[in-house]
Amino acid sequence: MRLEVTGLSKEFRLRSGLFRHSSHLVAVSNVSFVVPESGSTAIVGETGSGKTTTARIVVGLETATRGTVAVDGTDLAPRPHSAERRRRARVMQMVFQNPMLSLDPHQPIGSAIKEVVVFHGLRSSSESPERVFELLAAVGLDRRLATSRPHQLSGGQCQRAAIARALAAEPELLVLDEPVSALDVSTQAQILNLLADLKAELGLSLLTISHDLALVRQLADYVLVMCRGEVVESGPVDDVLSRPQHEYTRRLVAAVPESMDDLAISTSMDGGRGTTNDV
Amino acid sequence: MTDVQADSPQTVARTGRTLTLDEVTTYLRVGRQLKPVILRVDLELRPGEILGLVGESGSGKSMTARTIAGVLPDGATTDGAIRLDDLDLLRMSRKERRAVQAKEIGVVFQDPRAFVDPLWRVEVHMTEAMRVHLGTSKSEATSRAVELLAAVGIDQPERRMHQFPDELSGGMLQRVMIAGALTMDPSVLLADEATTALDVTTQAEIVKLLARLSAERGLSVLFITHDLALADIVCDRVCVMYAGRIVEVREGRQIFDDPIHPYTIDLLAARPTIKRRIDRLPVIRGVPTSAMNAPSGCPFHPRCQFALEACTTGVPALVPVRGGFARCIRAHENLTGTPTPADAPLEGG
Repeated sequence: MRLEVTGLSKEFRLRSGLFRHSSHLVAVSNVSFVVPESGSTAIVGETGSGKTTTARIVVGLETATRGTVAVDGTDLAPRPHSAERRRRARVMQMVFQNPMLSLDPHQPIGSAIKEVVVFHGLRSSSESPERVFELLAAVGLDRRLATSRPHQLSGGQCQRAAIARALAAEPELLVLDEPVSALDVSTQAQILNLLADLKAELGLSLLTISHDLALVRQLADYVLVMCRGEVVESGPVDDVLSRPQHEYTRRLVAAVPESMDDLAISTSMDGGRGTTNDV
Repeated sequence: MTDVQADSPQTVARTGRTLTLDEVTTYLRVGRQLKPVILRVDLELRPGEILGLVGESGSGKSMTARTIAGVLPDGATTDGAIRLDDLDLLRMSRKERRAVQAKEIGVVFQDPRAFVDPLWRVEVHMTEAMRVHLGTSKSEATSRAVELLAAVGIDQPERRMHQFPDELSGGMLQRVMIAGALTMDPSVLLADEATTALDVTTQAEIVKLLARLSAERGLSVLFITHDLALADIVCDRVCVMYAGRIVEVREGRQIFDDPIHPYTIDLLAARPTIKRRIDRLPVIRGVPTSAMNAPSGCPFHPRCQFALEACTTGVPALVPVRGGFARCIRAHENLTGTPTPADAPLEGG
């Protein structure tokens, strides 16, 4: 499926002070991008850049102030109970950073996966247990783990379970918010390979949100760099990371340590970075 | 709280002390049993040195720091010797030990927001230790705090003293944590994943700050991280831990280009790089283990691509190799190569 985001903006109203004087925080400002059919796009940026808010709007966890999110040319305006909205609830699935927090600690993972299969009416209740085993196998988990609760699994196994749960909806786009940053280094590679395999086998489109440029280099074809709610640079991942044009992108690339001298950052202050409102 | 012979907090430059760990083993109480979390750890942290301690979850890197700082869970016991110059911490009374640890060992943790009291102004956080442990007067403690905030690169330190933690950015709050850890003028700073929760540009700034403090003040820094490449750059020496043991010790800038232990070799190979897409990332099979769940023999052998029959019995000694040390019976063989992703089974089971 092809995702097209056009002119997306999100403002949050802030209330502060004695007289509840309200002001606006512009979290996302006029962001446009495309995730092609079976393509892989990433958004990089630091805290407060608006990258996670953008992802949450795409999957429908937030509503946009302005702009449109279209799937295969159809605008997914948030109309409750509409067919488009139900479609979005199924075809786009999100995988969060910390699976220990995104999975219900009391629910066995098999049951958490089955719930999604049944909710979307993708299998009859007699067929759904077999489907759960298929999904566990697809993410490289032993079927005996179906009865385990999240705390009984390692971080990597837990993230696999969260991916299996997302796949249970038979999505066409996976939105991955920092998919490996809570995992041990030696298990990160396993998850990155798994995501690449799933993309190839199922023709999935990927939208990855991360601060980790090496991960983006590994997983994405196209990248957007966000700073203070705006896209400051975008293009094919090779171009942007090898020959960054915007000063902010250069700083991000330079901050990936290759040597101490490369850390070309002033030690004095936090510099020009920050959320849109701390001016 | 009364007269204290310790250096006056105004002293800035000072000669550091050497922290030595000699075969330190720490056990935690799990149910009715004692289970090891670090095993016979030997370390020497010299004055002004930045020593890296690198490992994954369960490696024991944080437990090593907590053992040194004396902040272990209830029921934990420690064997071996922890010395600060010639002071043997484990042979002192609890009260004496606490006094030395409070004075000489500063600690900075990963997530400053989880560590500070959100209802405390920066001022309280910065002056409390001095007021309680040194009996410093309020005005003296305040001026010392302002001086330290300036030293860690915080502008308008007087104004910051009156702010609450939620008014500061993550990077600035971590600077406050570092300044707070320096108020007692410690000789050792334990930085436990102190840059992990920060944005990359902020991480670079904090790393540079630690390097500067170490150089200017003779502060010894134990830099604990999961990021081997970062440690390699930042540290004078790097110790890699696995399952509660040190498995490799190297001078800085060596480990990245010339890893010796199979764990280090595989860990570096498994990292994606910003330079290019790797067709298929080499993976280390299985999951990291902790000392309490470690298999017999070399604790890494079930995951090791170079493992031999002999690796299943007996823990290898830490032997000198190529200017460093490694705990592997094949350490002298110049092992290279990356694990084959095709036949590496997935974690699980």
